Amino acid sequence: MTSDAPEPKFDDVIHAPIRLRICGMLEAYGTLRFDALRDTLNVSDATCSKHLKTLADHGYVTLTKKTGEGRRYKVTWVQLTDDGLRAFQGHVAALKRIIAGE
Amino acid sequence: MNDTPQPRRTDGGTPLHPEPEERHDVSRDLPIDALGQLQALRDLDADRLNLAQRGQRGHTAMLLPFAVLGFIVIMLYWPFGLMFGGYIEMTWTMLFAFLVFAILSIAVMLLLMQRYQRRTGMATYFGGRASRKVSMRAWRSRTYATTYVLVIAAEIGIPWLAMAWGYHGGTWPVAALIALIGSLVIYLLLRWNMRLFFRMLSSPAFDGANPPAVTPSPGSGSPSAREGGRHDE
Repeated sequence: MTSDAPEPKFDDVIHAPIRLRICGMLEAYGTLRFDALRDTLNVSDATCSKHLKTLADHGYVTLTKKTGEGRRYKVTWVQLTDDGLRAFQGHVAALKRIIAGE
Repeated sequence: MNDTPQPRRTDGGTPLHPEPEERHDVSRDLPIDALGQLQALRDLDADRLNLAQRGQRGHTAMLLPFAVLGFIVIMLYWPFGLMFGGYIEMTWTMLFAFLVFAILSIAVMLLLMQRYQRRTGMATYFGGRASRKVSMRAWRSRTYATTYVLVIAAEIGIPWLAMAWGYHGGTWPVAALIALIGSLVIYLLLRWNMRLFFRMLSSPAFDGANPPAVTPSPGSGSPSAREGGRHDE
């Protein structure tokens, strides 16, 4: 049986607080709608978009547009990729190392 | 600066990111202190709690129409019982009714899931790896497992009770009463079960997120630690 513990790797893309929190939520809930992320982070649309774009550019998340309620507009759904998950878990492990003073 | 941990080097000095020009050394630019990182992990837990509450609100909104549908479904079992009991003799009608009933049940479940998504902005509460892990962990809690089994037993058993009533030629007012009480019982059990689940989902985002090496100052116990202690049954 392989160990579940990810290899600690500090990732400066994920290290930004907002991006870390985005990844944390996505790690827990899989796929989230843009407004759920924005509301929980308590940031503006622009800020949230900017960080999501950074994560998407690095291949950590995928952004999918789907028809929203009433089919009048499209809403964005965000999903963590496998690379994103690995990077996030590694980063959290690295943070824990820092906290533990290792 | 010498005391600052160097997280970018974990394998004997090999940089984790081979392009130092593209990825600047964060440990040099940013103050990477243990307390700051601890706060970052606490923020992750707070986000998880917020989302769990959002999910719970969405689920509560979903439960009421589910209870109404539950009443209808249980009530529908009564005429099936009448048919099986020989009070209504229409085999083909009965088979057709069962088929429609099965399709309707699946459609209703899909509809409810879509409603949950629309309301909360979450695909499902079992979508993420962490929430799946929580759901596996939840089974270790005797209370959660009991409520889960009770929900399943009630969802299967109560409609059959209505059917048995029909089979023995029971009257419709009693069938309606069985449906009413039955749907109420299922509603309450589901609410209880989901409340337990969401409470676990809002527990620390990461197993072992409470670092043993850091001793929090008096009175500043991490929420993670508090939650962790509460849910480790």
